[in-house]
Amino acid sequence: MENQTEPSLQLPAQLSTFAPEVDWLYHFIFWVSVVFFVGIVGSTLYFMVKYRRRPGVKSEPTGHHNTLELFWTFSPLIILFMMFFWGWQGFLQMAEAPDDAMIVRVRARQWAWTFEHPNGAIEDNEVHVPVDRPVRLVMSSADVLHSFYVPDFRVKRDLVPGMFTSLWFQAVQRDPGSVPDDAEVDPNRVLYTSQVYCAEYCGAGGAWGPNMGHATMYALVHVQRDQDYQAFLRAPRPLPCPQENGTCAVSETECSPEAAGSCLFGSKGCTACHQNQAGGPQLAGPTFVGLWGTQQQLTSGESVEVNEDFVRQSIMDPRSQVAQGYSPVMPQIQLTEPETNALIAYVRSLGTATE
Amino acid sequence: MATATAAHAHEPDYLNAKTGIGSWIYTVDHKRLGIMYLASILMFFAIGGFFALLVRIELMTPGETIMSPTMYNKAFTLHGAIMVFLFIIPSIPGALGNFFLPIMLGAKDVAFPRLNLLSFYIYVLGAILAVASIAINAVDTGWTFYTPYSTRTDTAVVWVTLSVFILGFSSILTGVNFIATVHKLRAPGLHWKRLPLFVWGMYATSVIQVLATPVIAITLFILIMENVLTLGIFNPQLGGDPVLFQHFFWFYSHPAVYIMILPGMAIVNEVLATFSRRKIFGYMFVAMSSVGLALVGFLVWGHHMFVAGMSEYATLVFSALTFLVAIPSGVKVFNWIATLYKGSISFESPMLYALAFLVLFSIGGLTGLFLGTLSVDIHLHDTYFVVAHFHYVMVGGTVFGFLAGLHYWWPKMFGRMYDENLARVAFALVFIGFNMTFFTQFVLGSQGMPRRYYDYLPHFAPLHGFSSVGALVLGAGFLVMAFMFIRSLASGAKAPPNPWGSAGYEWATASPPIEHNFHGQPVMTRGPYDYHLATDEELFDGFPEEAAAKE
Ligand code: HEC
Ligand SMILES: [Cu+2]
Repeated sequence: MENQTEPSLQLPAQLSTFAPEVDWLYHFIFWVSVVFFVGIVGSTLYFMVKYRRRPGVKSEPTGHHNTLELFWTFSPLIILFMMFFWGWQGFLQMAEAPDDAMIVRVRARQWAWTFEHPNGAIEDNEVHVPVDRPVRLVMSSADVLHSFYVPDFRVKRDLVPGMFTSLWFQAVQRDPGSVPDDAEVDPNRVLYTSQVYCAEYCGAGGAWGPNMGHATMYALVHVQRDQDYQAFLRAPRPLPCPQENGTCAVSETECSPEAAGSCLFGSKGCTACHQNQAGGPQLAGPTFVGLWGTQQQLTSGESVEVNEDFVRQSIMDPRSQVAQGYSPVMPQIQLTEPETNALIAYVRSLGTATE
Repeated sequence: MATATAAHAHEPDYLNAKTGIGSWIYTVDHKRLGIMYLASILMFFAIGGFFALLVRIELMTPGETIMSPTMYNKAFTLHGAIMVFLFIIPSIPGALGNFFLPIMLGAKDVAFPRLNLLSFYIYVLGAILAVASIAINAVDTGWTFYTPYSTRTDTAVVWVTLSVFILGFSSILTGVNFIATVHKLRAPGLHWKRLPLFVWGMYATSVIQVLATPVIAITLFILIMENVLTLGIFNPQLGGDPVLFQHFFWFYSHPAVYIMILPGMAIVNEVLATFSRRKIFGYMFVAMSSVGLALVGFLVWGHHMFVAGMSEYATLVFSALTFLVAIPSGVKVFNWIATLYKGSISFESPMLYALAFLVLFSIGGLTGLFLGTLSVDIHLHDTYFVVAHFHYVMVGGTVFGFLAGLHYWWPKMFGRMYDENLARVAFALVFIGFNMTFFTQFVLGSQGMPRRYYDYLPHFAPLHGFSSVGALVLGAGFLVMAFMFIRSLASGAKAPPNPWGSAGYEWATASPPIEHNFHGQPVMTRGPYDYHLATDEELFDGFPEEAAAKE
């Protein structure tokens, strides 16, 4: 079946190999429903008019019509069975990933996504995938239930703490031929981007913003030509830097470690638990404003100075040193060495800002 | 039906038979208990509706409109939990069932009047705990209390689950009481084939209440234990399984959907028969379809979990069984339409709600087909499509059925008529507002808008805005209705015993009924819908005394 690559009134664009079949079945049920609905409402309205109460006209007693009853009890079974059967077939296809599918690990936590490519490359809240190749996501959650949902691909699957769940899809071309096959390889070329939602309620933090609750636990899927994707995997990943419009992006110009750290602080999801604004509400973890250089009481009874070593240790192995008065809920977050350094620099800059 | 009705016209009605606050607090009269339930559930309907409006107003525009995300999460949780546990489940059985089931059986009261009183106070206790939890730290888990979120949040989960646990006992006791009443207290001549369909519906509902409620009780009890004692049953960090909670939860909560919808259907039977002056077509099929729904309803809980991590075979079976639900539902709808055929139909407000039920419930049922179909459900699960679907069933179905019943029996319960024109204005607002609010949500959902979102992407804004305006219209409709009913209580015209000219048994009593419902033991000599057998006197819709005086 052809893919309809623009959204329709009822359904999003069809950008995976599943979408056309799912939508065909959707429309089948839709039209069956329309026929039944028109029948139900039509006959009701007709009887309402025809048999409205008039003086002198009495109602007729109700008789027995067992054949009619049996007819409308059992005949819908045929249509119902068709819906069930096609739905089941489609579901089986979605359940079994092809053997040659490329595997991407997905880790979710309140309220951010981390993607790990086969070669170990990590992305936060966005993921690049090759077009026309099956991709299988193997997913887990660090805290509560989440659900990975890409409407354009018609896929959705819950992430359940304590177990692995998986789903697969194969993205299709949006406008085939827009990028010729022999076009020069460019790791940054993206054919199109689809939206990822968290579809299972997972709470909200004390403050509001990107990745601060269920409703902004967004991610993006960037679909690339296979050769561009391969180049993307190999390309060095410079740290993101703050842009003039207030967002963060990976760009040519480099920035200071603190600045890169401020971007990572958001994209790695630290904002969910650590306050970085003076006077902001207290979140689940210690506030970093003015923290650097102070003494931190630990649950072990010790007291340590918040310095480079302590912060590094706290980030890399959160359970090893738990601050007094907090629950040990900080997840271990995958970071590269430069990322960790940038975050430490940022935490230091927050600590000294108010001094 | 033969009773000695008209003879003692001056015996005081149940509202005046005894006086003083104690006569209400300790009453074992099923009618007074019905009224007390009615007052309580209407209060919670208003509170639940208030939270619904908060939610819709927040969603009127993108970004923060009136409240913070944490407040929003509490608001939608409270809306759901209050509406489900404190309003819909007890609504029709507690209020209208208590009042009318014994009367329709020709009985003086339910089988265990004291148990009935106990059941009401258990409900009150549960309600108090629920309200207390709001004061302590309102829950933000969603009404489904999914683990492990519900074991990690610091809100008052234990209080609310304890409240629902306690409310369950109220539900079980009411169920037991109704089953015993239907078996034991039918008047002479009232054999099963003459049983009013409202009674059949209440009977099927009671069976589910008795069988399913203990499961939620146990589930919530385990959840409370897990929270208090940190047991590892659902909590993965302690080796538990969060999906197990979902199985337990829906094992109750899916049948609970039938606890909610069967009573609504039951009322629609009565109203359609009365206003089309005709016995319900296929009486036995309609009665048995209630029982069928009750049974199949037990086997489909897994359809709430198609994307949650179940085996493919479990999924297959649950999907197949889910389609079976369509059969008894379809049977009902077809029979209702056939009832209109060759009837003599009039369109007072109860009938308007019953006809609206037919249309809205059909939409609710047909959209269920999308969700039962596995591959399509993957896309629609946990989107606004589901929200719209169950509001069409729960509001378009149960609440419209309840309103049909409330308008239908109001004159009987309070002995006063209401302003029919105002009732129709309220109906129009409610009907239009409801469809504006929720039809829109089908489109939002199929376009991919997930549910329980505080905020949304810009391209969803127009539909969300429209839906919120619809909610305001809906709210306005309920305000008009409240005004109309209050005015009826204060200054409504006196109601005759049988204002709609119905052949139903309950209309043979006075309006409002006397304390013992009937003078002497009624004997049923015809079915409750046998218009061709009923005498003109039985169908007379005015005041018998005045008619007698004229002669
Ligand atoms: C789920 C909430 C959560 C997230 C997400 C989180 N943290 Fe934490 N973090 C905590 C809590 C709670 C503590 C205090 C308990 C402890 O020491 O483990 C903490 C402690 C720390 C500490 C030690 C501070 C002190 O005074 O003890 C550092 C440093 C830290 N986090 C850095 C980070 C960074 C960097 C990130 C993002 C990559 C991050 N955290 C993400 C919850 C979180
Ligand atoms: Cu989530």
